[in-house]
This record gives sequence, C-alpha cells and structure tokens, in this order.
Amino acid sequence: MAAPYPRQRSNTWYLANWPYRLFMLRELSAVFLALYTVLLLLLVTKVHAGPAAFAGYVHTLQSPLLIAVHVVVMAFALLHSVTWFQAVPKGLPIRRGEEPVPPQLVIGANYVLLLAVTVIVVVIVRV
Amino acid sequence: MRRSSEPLFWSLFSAGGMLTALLMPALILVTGFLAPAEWVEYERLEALVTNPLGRLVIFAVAFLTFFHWAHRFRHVLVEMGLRRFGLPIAVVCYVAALAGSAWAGVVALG
Repeated sequence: MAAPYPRQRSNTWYLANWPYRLFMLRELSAVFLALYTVLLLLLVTKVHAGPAAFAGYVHTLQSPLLIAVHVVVMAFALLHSVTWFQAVPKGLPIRRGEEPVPPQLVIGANYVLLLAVTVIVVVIVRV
Repeated sequence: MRRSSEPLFWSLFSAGGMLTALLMPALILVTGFLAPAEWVEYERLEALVTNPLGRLVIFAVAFLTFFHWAHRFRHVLVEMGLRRFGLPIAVVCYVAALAGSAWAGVVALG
C-alpha cells in the first residue's frame, strides 16, 4: 500500500506573500478585540468603583504605552470592520423580490450603520 | 456521525463578528482616546454602566467578543499547522471564552 500523500504546506505559509499575510492579520484581529475587551471591562470596574478610581484609570490610559496599544487595537478593529463588511453580502445574500441586492449596496449600508453607531456612542458619553 | 457543536460556535463567532465590526471602533475611540483626553464625563459612564440595558450591552459585547475570538483563534492555530492539537486547542479556547464571559457577568452586574 502506498504511503499517505505528505502534506506540502509549510508551517510558515502565511508569511509567503501579502494576500496570505493580510489573511493572517485579519484572523488575528480577534486577538486584539479580545484584549481590548479586557481593558474595557477593567474600565467598567473602575467606573463602578467611583470617580476617584475612574480618574486613576484615566491617568493610566494617558500613558504613552496604553495610547500606543489603543492605536494598534484601533487598526486591527478597523481591519476587522472592513473585512467583515466585505464578507457580509457573501454570507448573507439579500434579495428584494426577485432581484438580488447588489453587494456594494449591502457593504455601503454597513458603513452607514458603523458611522451611526459611532455617533450614538460618542453622544451617549458626552454630548 | 456524531452531532457537531460547530453550528453553535459558528453562530457565536458570526454574531460577535457583526457586533464588533459595528461597535468596537466607537468603543476604542471613547475609552482609548477620548477618555485619556478627559473628554468623557464620569457621570455619563456611571449612568451607562448602572443602567439595566447598559449592563446587558456590556455583558453581550464581552461575551460575543470572547466567543468570536475563541472560534477564530482556534481555527487560526490549526491553519498555522497545529492540526494535531485540534481538540485541546478548541477546549482551551472555548473554556477561556467562558471564563472571560463569567468575569464579564460579574463586572457588568458591578
């Protein structure tokens, strides 16, 4: 009996070219979203603990390290949003009557929703 | 063939992916940039985290983000060549997401 066909893929295949690297960065966005969620829950804990605890945490958030962390997290979050919106019409094809709704319209609607959600959140915390 | 738990975890992955795609940039903007700029008012945040709907949203965001992470990270490790350890990786990822969600529940109830 012939030996099983050996797998040819290397363990670093995702470093080979940009489409692969982008795929891997997209998949790893979830790691940064989860790490950010830990920071978010810490903030909620501090808000529950009172104004002094919150002020202390705001001081921590002002450190250059945490600003840099949030810049990286934001970049991955936006990569996630953009790639997720691109995938929405593929995962959930919408029809209006017999006519399929064009993918660009569905993607565009997601961006409008993202903008609306962002404005609402900012209004809730300040305005 | 044994029944698969894949549809359940895929649903959580999908729901988490949609929610984070729409909400995370706003949350990061507020807590990562506007809060350190001292632009966010404590009273507003306090009202938000003690409001029943606010508590539910905080828990839902954390729960779905953690399970979105678990599913995606599990599959990415397998793609990176760890197929042999597929089962323990899945268990560790989902248990971590469950532990994170339990913590989120405690935090949200405050």
